[in-house]
This record gives sequence, C-alpha cells and structure tokens, in this order.
Amino acid sequence: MKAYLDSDEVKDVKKLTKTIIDHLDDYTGFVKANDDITFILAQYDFSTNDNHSTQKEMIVEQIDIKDEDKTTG
Amino acid sequence: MFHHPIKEIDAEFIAEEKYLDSIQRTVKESCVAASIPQKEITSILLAIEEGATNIIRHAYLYEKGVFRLRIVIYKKMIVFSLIDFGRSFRPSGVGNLDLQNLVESGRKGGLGFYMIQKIMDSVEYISTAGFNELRMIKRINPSPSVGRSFLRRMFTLRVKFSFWTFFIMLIIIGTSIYYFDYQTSRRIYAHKNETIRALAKTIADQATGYFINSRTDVEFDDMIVSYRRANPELKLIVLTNANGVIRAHSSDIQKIRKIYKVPKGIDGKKFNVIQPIKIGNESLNYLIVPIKTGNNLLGAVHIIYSTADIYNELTAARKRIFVLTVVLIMFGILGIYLLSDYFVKPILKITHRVRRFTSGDLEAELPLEGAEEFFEISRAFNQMMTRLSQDQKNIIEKERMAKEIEVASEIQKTLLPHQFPIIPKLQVDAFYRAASIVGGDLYDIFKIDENHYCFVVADVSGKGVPASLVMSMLRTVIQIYSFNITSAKDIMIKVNNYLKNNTPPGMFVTVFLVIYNVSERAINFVSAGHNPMLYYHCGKKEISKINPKGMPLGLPVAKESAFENSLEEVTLTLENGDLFFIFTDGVTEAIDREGHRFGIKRL
Repeated sequence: MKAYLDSDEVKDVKKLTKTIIDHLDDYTGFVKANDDITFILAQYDFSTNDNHSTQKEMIVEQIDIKDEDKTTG
Repeated sequence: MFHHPIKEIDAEFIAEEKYLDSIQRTVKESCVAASIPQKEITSILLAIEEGATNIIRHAYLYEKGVFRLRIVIYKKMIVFSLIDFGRSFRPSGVGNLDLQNLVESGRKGGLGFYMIQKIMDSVEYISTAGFNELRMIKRINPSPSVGRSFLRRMFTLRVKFSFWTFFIMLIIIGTSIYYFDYQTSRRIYAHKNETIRALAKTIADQATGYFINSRTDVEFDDMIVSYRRANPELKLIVLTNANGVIRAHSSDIQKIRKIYKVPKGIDGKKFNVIQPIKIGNESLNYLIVPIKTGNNLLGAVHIIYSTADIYNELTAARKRIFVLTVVLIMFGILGIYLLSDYFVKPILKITHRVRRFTSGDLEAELPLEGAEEFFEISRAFNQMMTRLSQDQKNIIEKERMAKEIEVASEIQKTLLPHQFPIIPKLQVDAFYRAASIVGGDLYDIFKIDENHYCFVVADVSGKGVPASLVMSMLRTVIQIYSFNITSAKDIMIKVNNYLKNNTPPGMFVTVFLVIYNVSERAINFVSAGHNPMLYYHCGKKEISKINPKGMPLGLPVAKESAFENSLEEVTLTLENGDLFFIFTDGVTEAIDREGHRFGIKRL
C-alpha cells in the first residue's frame, strides 16, 4: 500500500483497492478465507470536487464457497 | 413448445395447511414419474409448498376455500399450476422480481415468490376474473438413467426363478428318463438275446441226435418248421452239416443239400456271437450255434431273428412315459409358480415398498410375516426406512434452510451500500468479500448532513445467520442514531445503549466509526474494540497505526458509564493526499497455504 502511495503515479483509491486485493489473493493463493474481508479507504484530495467513485458501483464480491472450492481443488 | 403431454394430474385440495402433506405427496409422485433428480424434487416441493401456503394465507386469508393443483408432464419439462378462486395477491414484479425493491418496500410476502423463482425455471402469476393461477415451469434434467433394456426388465426375479427352476427340473427329469430307458432297454435286449441263444442251443442239441441217427431230410425239416412256428420272432432257421451243406431250411426247401452261404457281413466262424444284419429296411440279428458231439463238429444252426417286437414295446412304453412326463412338467410348472410366489412375493413386497418410498410415501411399513429370513429382512427394512424417512425429513429441512439462507444472503447484499454519497474532497472506495453465504461484517458510508459524512466498518462476533441478523440491525441502528449527531463517540454510545439490550448473550460487535467534517477538513473517530486504523500522512510519506481505546459494543458491563469511559475519540486534520484505511480482521488474519497470517505489516 505504501509503495503505491509513495509512487509518483496519479492516485486512485480504486486502483489501491485492487492492489490490496491482488496482494491479498496472491498471498493466500485463493485459500478459502475463515473470515469476511471488509475495508474502506478514503483519500483526501483537495483538487477533487466530487467523489469519483460515486459514478461507479461498489465492488461487492460474494465468493461462493462452492465455487472457491472448485478453484482451489 | 409444449408438444404432447406425457401425463396430466388434476387434483383439488381444501385450502388448509394440514393438507400440504397431501399436496407434497402428489407433487413428489409426479416428479418421480418425470424422472426428476431427488435433489431437485426437494426444491420443487419447497416451491409448491410456498405457493400453496400463499394461497391459504393471502388468497383465502385462512377462510374456507379450495384450490386446484394441475401438473402436466412433458418430455422436457413439468408444469405446475396452482389455481385458486380467492383474492388476487399478485406480488409486484413477479416474473422479474427485484429483491432491492422488495426489501425497500418491506413486503415480506414477496420473498416466497422470490424463492419460487430461484427454484423454478419460469414463474407466471395470472389473475383473471374468477381465478388466479400461479404457473411454475421446471425443465427436466432426468436422473442418470440406469439403462435397463426392455429384455432385462422382462427378466424379473419371478421369471428368472421360474425359468431356472424349470430348467433344472427339466434336466433332472430328462436325465432320469434317459438313464432308466437305457438301462431297461439294455436289460430287455440282453434277455431276448439270451432267450434266442438258449433256443438255438436247444435246436442244436436236438439236431445232434438227428445227425447221429441219420434222420431224413423231412424229419430235419419238420423239426425246424415246428421251431419256426413256435417262435415267430425267428425269421430264418438253417441247419448245415460239418461241410456247410444245408440239411434243413425254414424258408426254402429247394436249398436243401446245397452249400449254405452266410449273408454278406456275417462271419460264419463266429459261434454263439450275435451279429447285426440288415435285410431290406429291417435290422435283424444273426446267431450261429455249433452242432457238436463231444469235440466232433457235426454242423451248425444259423438263426436270423428280429427284435422289432421289443422295439415296438419300448416305443409304446416311451410314449406312455412321455405323456406322463408332460403331465408331470405341467404340474411342475404350477408347483414352480406357487413356489416362486412363496419365495418371490415377500421380495416383491419389499420392492413395491421401496418404490413407494422413492415416490415419497415415507410412512407405510412392511408387515412382519413369512419365513424367518423374510421376517428379519422386513424388520431390518422397516428400521432402515424409519431412519431414512427421518433423514429425508432432515434433508428437506436442511434444503429449506439452505434456500432461506440463500435468500438471507441476497437480502444482506442489498443492505450493503451500492452507491456512495457524493463526498467533497474525498476519494472513497470499499471492498467486501463474505467467507460464507451470509457474512458478519458490515461497512457503510452515508451522509449525516451537508457537512458531515459517516464511515463505518464493523465485525460481529460469530458467523452465519445470527451474525448477519445482528449486522443488519447494526447498520440500521447506526444510521438512526447518527441523525444530527456529528461526534463519533456520541453515536457509538447511543448505538451501544441500544445493542446491549438487544443482542443475544455472548454476542458482541467491534466497530470503527469515522466522521468526516468537510468544512474543517477533519475526521474524528472512535474504535469499539476494533482493528486499528492505518493512516497515511502524505506530507511525511509514512503510515501510522492509530488504535483508539474502546470496548466492543453489546458487552454487559457493571457500570453504565464503563463503555463511555472506555471510548477514546481522536480527531485529525486531513492534508492533501492523506489517506485512512479502516478494515476488519479478515484482512490481517487471511492465511496462506501454510497457515501463516497476512498480518498488518504486509499492508
């Protein structure tokens, strides 16, 4: 997360969300989670008048256990 | 589209809940007839029960009434129609139900239809003058075929039993008849040959005297003619002297004093040996007996005799045995049938019972009767059926619960925010992934007023439906108690006051609640026993872990003020690029294949 935030790249919280989730999935290897994964992140951006993300639907991912079992074998 | 129906069932039921079992039985039998897999049958039963219950409750309002259940089985689908004559209770959006609208409208009655839609492939609600029809279509994905050919189905246990018993009986009877016939024939033929041999010896002995006394040809002839007459089975008697000259001939006196030539195929030097001979189409026997005095050979007696009388007698006897055998076989078949009935009937009863069980009749038992083995089988079967019946009921109940949990999951998803409010100067995103069908985590982002926005991440202890129900309640409670309150701590105290009296014992909730003040460019936040917040200071390019003190919500405490005193409220002023990250322990406690936790440092 810090590496992304420290980078010179234009900041986008959705990209950061994806980075965190990819990192998490790479680590777990898609092993079935024991607990729900939930987080909110918010970045103060003086140049922004509106919240960009209101234009898009939230990522609400419901992983079906059965499907996950199939994936992980 | 529908082609010709294979089977149609039309039944009328009284609109009372006590008749739901009968409806289920009818539906189950139809589903079995349509070769629908057992798992799908359970779901279909749920859907039909839901439809019928709606008629009882909403169409007739528990008043008297009847409704019809029409089931039409086609090759590739089965159509269920529930037709009632009560009030129309058409739920909004049937056929294309929107769960979000349903939840917002608060009409719980529509949930049943939602479940029906999930189970069936097509659902229609038709309400016209006089009646309402709920038509449900399910495509048939037939059970894996057992693949029994017509020929195999023909060979039932009874047929096989009868066939093999008959076959074995036939072999035993056939072998017995053949053995006794062979033995009897051999004995009769041997007896006949001995008789002829003795007769030939008598003729030879008498001829010896004739040769010694030099009897005349006439005397020789008289002797053999008298023997011939007395024994009609003797076809020919010839007496020859030691030189082979004929002294007497039973058929042709012209041959007397001529050299006798033995028939072709007969060895004239084999004495006392019966040799077969064929004359014309007749099979005969040939016997040569020497005429001797001491060691002097005086001549020979040549006899040709027939065994046709024996053959005729044997043939007649065989005919009688054959008729007797046929009669015995007829009785045998009858006996086999009765015997098969005795052995197969209890098995057929068990088979019939199994069929009834698979078609949904879980109640009827096998009678405890018959031979000890069948008695034991029936008793064991009844015990097994009782257990299976119980298991079946449990499976149906589990299926019902699974469907309900599925619906609960859908509802829970609708409770999570699908769109964020417009928040000035703030980029916001959120993520939620449930570990099971229904989760116990909550996040929410909502507007309190034009200047204040609330961010909530919470984790309900435990999992499953209870946790999800508390989670649903928590979201509503936070939204209600945050009305016109802009202090995170004040909101949390009010929410706790409500939860501590309304959560099940032993259940608690950890919450991280942030209030964003737009005009002051600040956030104030509290943590009720939740994970720390990660805060990124853009100017310093560093991440801090901020963990305000606080007890979880819903815990029983001795002092009213204990919770309030435990809460630490923190306020931070935001700089451009600053970022805060609030999360549940599902993030840090995610594990890899070796069981190692993700942890907070990896963030």
